Amino acid sequence: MPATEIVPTTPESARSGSAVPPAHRRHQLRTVVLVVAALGLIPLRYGGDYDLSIANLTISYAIAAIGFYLVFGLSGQFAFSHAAFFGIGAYTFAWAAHSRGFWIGLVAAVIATALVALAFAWLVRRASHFYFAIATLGLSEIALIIFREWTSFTAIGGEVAVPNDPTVDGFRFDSEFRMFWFLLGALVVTMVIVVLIERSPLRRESIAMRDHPEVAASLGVPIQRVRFVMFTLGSAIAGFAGALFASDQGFISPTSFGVGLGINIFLMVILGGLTNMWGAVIGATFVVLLPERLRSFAEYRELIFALLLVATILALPEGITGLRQAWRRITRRA
Amino acid sequence: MSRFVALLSAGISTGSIYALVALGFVTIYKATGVINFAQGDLATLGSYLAFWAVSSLELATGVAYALAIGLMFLVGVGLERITTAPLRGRSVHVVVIATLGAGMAIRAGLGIWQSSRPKRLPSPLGIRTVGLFGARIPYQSILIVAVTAMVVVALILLFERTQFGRQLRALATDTEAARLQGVMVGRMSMLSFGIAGALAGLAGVLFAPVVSVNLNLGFVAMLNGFAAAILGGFGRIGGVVVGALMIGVFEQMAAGYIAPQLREVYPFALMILVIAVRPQGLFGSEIRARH
Repeated sequence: MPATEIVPTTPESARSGSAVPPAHRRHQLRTVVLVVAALGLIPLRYGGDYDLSIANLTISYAIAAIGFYLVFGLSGQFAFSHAAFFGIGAYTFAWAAHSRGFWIGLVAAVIATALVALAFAWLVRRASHFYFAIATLGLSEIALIIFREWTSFTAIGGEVAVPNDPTVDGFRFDSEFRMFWFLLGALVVTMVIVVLIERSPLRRESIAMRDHPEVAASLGVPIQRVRFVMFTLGSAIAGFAGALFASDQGFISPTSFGVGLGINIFLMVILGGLTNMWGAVIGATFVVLLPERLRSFAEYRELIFALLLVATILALPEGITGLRQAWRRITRRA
Repeated sequence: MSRFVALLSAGISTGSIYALVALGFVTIYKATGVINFAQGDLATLGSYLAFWAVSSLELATGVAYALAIGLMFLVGVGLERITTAPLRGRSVHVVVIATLGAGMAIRAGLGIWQSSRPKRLPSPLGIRTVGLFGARIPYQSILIVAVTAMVVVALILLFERTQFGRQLRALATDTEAARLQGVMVGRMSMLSFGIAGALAGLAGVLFAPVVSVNLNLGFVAMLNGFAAAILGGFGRIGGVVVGALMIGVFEQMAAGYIAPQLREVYPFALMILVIAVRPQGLFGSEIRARH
């Protein structure tokens, strides 16, 4: 691997790359601290159980969206399977935690999701872009049917109660308020993992693989391995988020993991912006909070989300986090 | 024997529907290099338009179906104007997600317009059946197969014998060279979406009397259409049609003889297997790999 950073040259990433030098962009631990501190203030202002349940849901989705940033944003793999891995994590957690408790359940969820993701990635390793996308769409449909029909693993109709709250040293995170802090901790763990990945050669190898697979391969980037690693890591994070979602919600059913969630995850990362993981967090917040603001339009929710997705792609290709760069370009020109 | 014949005929008629849906996005793929993930929802829209024409406008079924298919041609062109034309030159990922979003918007919009309760669309031939080796085969199944056969022949003639088909094949082989030779890329893109819209509308009105008009009608057919197109190698019309028939028959047979509750799983499992073992499809592809 050559020591120089391979600068991405697709139009979109090249533009953002010139606005913020990559070396600056990757000092992210400070931002992690700021984001967590800001999130930590939420209970002061919005302390009600309902508000906190919304915050908890946002954090679960944000973790899943950060995982999707690795799969789709960083390594450019067009996968519809993320909602399915979220579901696999949730159901494995429900199954394992039922007899063995929260922590075994959580570990089992992450390992099972990672194994399924790795096996799938290996199976379709020769698929080109679209075939990969279609195969992941097939995988997510199969997963949904299995959740519903494999009743000895899930339950009748795939509807499972999950009474397992996290416990640390005998302390139970059993209220929305306590769960909030637990989930915030999980978000920090996820963010730190991703920041470490972004500091490692894996980041530039992924970008090189995404933008110029042939060139990257000829320079010695093990593109197949990078693809496997990023897909497995991102999907395992989705499984992790799914387990937390199951524990927080206390009840799961197959409808929570359908195509609707798959679209929403796309909306989260595209709306937020694909060039860094903060986009995923901002997008998740937006996607959860918007229906709350628009509660009187409840029946138009899906329509609004779908139109928003199309409008974002047409009008705001770099997402919300891209606005800063766009603004900088405008002011510099003026 | 009668069970086998019944399953075979059901498989061939659902396979024909998958073929119609698959031919739609294969046409678009040839002209633009993009896969239209809204194709299924276009079929759903077609079946709802037919239902609306029959129940609200009180047209005769044949006229209502023709109206629905004609409207779907325009919807296809409109879809191209919104999701593909403004994004020319951007990554194909972006265009595909735009079509996906448009499909979701169509489905959500239909849910609001007509509610999500399934509806019955009458078959123009009623509910009569014909006996064959002891199996009762609905006239609708025969109609589906006959119409699909005619459409396939028409499409083959269109692709092989007309100026449109020649330009389409030029675009599929080498977009740049085709444009330099004067192929109007924008017009071809619009026309291909229009044809795909009409094909989707046709699939919708033929399929709806069999499974009822519901919001997931087209999406499921599209997933099976993907499986069919991959099996057939995505390029050749013949390959795609054979792939679709295989998927339809395989689905019915596996559901009839192995485990019916997993009926929807079989096509996807077969598709993933094909991608794993023979990604160029069973009969090879005539289109070079485009990213």
